[in-house]
Amino acid sequence: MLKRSLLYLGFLGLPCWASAATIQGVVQDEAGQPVDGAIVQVVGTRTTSTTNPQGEFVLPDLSSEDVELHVRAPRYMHKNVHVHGGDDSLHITLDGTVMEVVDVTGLPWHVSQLESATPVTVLQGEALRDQQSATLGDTLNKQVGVHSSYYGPVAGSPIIRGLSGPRVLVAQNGLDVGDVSRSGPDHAVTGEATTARQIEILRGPATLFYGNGAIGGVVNVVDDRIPQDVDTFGQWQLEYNGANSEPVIEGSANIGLGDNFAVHADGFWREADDLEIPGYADVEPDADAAYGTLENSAYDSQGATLGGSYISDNGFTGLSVGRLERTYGIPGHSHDGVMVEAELEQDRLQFVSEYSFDHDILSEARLRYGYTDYQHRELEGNAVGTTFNNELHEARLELFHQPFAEWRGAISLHATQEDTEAQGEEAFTPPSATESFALALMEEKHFGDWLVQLGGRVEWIDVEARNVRLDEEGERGLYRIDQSFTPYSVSAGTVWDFTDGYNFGLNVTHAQRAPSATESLAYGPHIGAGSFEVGSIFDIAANDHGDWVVNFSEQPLQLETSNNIDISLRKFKGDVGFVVGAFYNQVDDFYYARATGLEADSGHDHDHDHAEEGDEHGEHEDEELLPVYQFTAADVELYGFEGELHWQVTAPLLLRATTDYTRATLRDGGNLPRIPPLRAALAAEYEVGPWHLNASATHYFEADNTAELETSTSAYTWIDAEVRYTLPVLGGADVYLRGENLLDETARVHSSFIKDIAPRAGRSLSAGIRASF
Amino acid sequence: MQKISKFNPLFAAFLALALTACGDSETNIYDQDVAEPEHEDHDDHDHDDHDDEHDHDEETSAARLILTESGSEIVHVFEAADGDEVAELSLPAPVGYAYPMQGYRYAAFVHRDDNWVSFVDGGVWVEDHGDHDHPYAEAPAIMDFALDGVRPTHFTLSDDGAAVFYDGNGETADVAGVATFSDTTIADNGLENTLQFGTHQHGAAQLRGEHLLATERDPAASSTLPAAVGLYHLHDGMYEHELTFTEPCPGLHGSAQNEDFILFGCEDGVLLIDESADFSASKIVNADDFADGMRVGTLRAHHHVEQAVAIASGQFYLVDPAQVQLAPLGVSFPDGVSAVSYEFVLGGEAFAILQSDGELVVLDAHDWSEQVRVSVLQNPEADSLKMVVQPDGHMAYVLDSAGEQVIPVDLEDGELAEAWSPGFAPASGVWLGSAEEHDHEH
Repeated sequence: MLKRSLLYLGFLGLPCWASAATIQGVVQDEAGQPVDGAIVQVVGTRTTSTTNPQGEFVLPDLSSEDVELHVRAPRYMHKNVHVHGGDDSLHITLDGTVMEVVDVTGLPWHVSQLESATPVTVLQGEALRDQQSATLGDTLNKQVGVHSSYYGPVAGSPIIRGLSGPRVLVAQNGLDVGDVSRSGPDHAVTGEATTARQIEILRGPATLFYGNGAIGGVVNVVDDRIPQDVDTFGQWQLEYNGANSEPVIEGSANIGLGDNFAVHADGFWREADDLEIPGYADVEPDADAAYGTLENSAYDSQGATLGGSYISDNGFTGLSVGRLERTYGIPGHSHDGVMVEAELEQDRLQFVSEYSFDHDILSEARLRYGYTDYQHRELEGNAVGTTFNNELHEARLELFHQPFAEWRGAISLHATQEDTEAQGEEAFTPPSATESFALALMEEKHFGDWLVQLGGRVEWIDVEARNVRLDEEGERGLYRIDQSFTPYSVSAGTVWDFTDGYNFGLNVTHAQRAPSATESLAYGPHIGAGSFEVGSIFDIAANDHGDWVVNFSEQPLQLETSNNIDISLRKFKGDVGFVVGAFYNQVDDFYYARATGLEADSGHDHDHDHAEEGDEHGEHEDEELLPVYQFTAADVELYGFEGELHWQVTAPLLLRATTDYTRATLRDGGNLPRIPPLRAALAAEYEVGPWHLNASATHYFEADNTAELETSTSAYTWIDAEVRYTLPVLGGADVYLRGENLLDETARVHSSFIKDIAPRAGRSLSAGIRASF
Repeated sequence: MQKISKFNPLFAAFLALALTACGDSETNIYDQDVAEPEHEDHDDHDHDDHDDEHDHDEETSAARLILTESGSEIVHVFEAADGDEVAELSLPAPVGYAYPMQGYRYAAFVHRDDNWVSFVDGGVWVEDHGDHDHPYAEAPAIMDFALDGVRPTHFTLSDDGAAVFYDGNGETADVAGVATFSDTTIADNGLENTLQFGTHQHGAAQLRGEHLLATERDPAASSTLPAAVGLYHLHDGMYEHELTFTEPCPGLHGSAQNEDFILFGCEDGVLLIDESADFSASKIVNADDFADGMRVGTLRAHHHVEQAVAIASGQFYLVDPAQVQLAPLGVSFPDGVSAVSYEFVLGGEAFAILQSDGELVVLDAHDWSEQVRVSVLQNPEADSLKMVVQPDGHMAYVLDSAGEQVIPVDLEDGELAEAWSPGFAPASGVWLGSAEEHDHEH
């Protein structure tokens, strides 16, 4: 399949038809003042022009005079302008906004927080640098609709609207990160925020763009490892975090070499001790429990990337290689008193090629290919407990067509091949090989005040799992399981500029997801989750005495099917801007780990029948018993709201208020586990001269909509404050001092698997210096 | 600890479901071979990592015993070598009789009182991979294939498959019938071939290729035993009557077949039907020493053995078609001792008889001399013993229901292996596994 995709590279060499049309004009603000530095781009091409101090721009040598322009500038609303025929000179007026508007990369559509039928957030710039932490979940957990799965400070995946794991795709530059974070909450995500340019969050089903694993949303970490232009720029940062005595060093640079080449290099290093926490880690501490420290939560990680591109007028082709290493303790994860550490290594290769051309039918082609070789070992002392290996090839080709009756869009061809295996005592999922191929079409068109976005995608997935072992009496043996799935997604959305300065977004999506290998095939102890997991392909038969056996189920596996509706109301002009939204997501055959009330021993030695025969089984008598969870498909409803308000009170003072809430219920009664509680936050930023002050308070309400066998989690308020000073040296370097959890609250994260044994950090100070050029 | 068993028909299970418009999902589950090819070379013990006590069972390790419990619908599958329980399966009804199918992969369980026959895949078999035989050892399973008919009773096996005779029931006016089928029919959950009679009878049928020899009873007769044999031919899954043999067989009970002959036990002798002579029938009349009322009621035959064994009132006779006579076999039992199980073994090389006193006698099937005599059990309880044999191999398993034990016996040298306990009183059993070929001296 990859080869098939590569064939399409041929398109990149198509000849161009040159003709000559020139569009010129001026960009102004509402007061008629010129906007300097606005970028005017011909939509669907790489042709751009940046306005001069007079606000003027020129776009020469266009193939057509019938084009659509996208105009963007910081602190202004983006604007799309249709140009028909030879207008003399365009006058484009941009509306100022208090909201930050950043385009989402890597989608065939033009999408930003304020201009999208679906809810998106882009975190970048200072905000990203302020919030970056060792885990992606913690980096993003102040964004609306996003929480962290917080497995201590060492591992945390983003949870979007209560969904995570196999439903939220973590991508880097649009390609799956290829780690095993989806199969266990104690497995770290390898999407590294430290050297990222921006992080894009797509909330709600994004299978249309990203495929099967994105039914709950996407987090895409974007960096400049493959230069797209010959600009020279970069940034660096030194930081020390007091909560876990963690020094951080990171930097990245892109350097243009002549007119056609650019290279990129980045690197980071961080090393942390055990996290300092208020009080005991455990809700019910042992007599010998450590006070004020989360044991076995130290980590160190480092990584580096090199990249280079050949850049021409109409596109670029680039390659990057990167390596990431990380060693971390797994809090609460001990085998017979021996602390467990994880050690992961990831090598990534990415190839990106994007070209636009004046072809009759095609306007642009974008090819992305990524290869990831991932290994993750869990060490008990010096012994390797379990080794996870993952190898992923992924290729995506997007072919953009010339506007057809003003419809713009692209066909996307997407192929992946993934080999996953786990060896060792925690190998609860059998080795599997997955191949998928997807075809998607995405189209959008402006109808007056309405922007309509339509898309559809169909995906063919084949999973082959070997060595599926049943060692119960009934169907004892080894099995090979072939699964094929054909999930499809369709999406329709609109953005309606119903009055000046406002718009209304509506999006309806029907999306399907094939259950992950873990959800369908798991069978064994999953120490990280503290459970014995049984996949949905099996049936558990139990009697009143708690004895149970597992056999293959006669029920066919179902595709998880989501019907989601999103509405958003946005105000963006003037000193007050807001985005408020609500969603309703009805998911049929939602796979979740249902507590069975049964127990299994963690050594996976379930041979109780012969226990009375001899002493050889006596060693298992002290074995820790794990609760048995089975992945079960049930119909659920998720609904909630998200809101964000920005108020520029005075020139130096900006107030921001955010809130989000997700409710997730089983339609037959009951709640889904680990759904984040209602959250409300207030932040203030004050900027005067070189001084920048900001403070935020976030209140997490009590989480009491608990699932079966789940406990509620107390409310807490988390307060941060930062003071930053811009030095007149090093091109304006910033030094900063930040305090976190100023109330020293014992903050337990309801969405964490280990909330009862791993609270968030106590009151702490961080300091650092950073600069960009 | 109580055991639970839940069963799903599984082998090559195919689960497919069309969901909404085009969202499809399909799962196929295949057995994966767990058994590595065993070393056939007995000298090569270096690679044998089994416990010592299991060494001698090397060549039979791909074998299982399915044991039944009296009055229970649960059947238990054990490794024949060491008694490790592989599975227990819950059949639809208590088991009356248990039989192996011809390939020794499947077993048939006759639930006579519940008008049902169910089938179990023992999970061990050998596949011909051209240059080698590939052994498989997988989870046992109940097959989808099953038979329903009124009072299934006699089950007979031939090289072509099996025949189940339904006796029917005179009181409920259910007529008798026959179903024939093969391993393939069971594997594919296919259709059995059938024959239906006009009346009930306690009869028997023998399958010969496309022909079936089945007993016939006059509806007006007072006995439920048939008195004649008919020849039937298969057409489109149904057997059609070709002829009724003129040689009568009053009070017919018991049947068997070897390479050329099909035999039926009659009050006045043994009815012999010679397929090689275009199904010609003849009678070997009762021997002169038969006492009044003595008759052949049970027959044993083997494909490789020209002579058959007839049991008349507990006495063993040899049926010799060449000599056209019934001659005493030359085995005798002490007073109060009778034969409880008797089968051809060692691929037809020998005939084994288990006595109620725990003695096991192995006769050479060429000259009918006694080869082995071993006391398997001292003073067993009455009606406690039964023997399950590995038909083409050298092992027999004596089931001792009173002692709740299974005693493996090597029929070649009379060596007893260590007994093991199934954990219940075994009532009957079937040996399943990859058949081990024996050299034939015929």
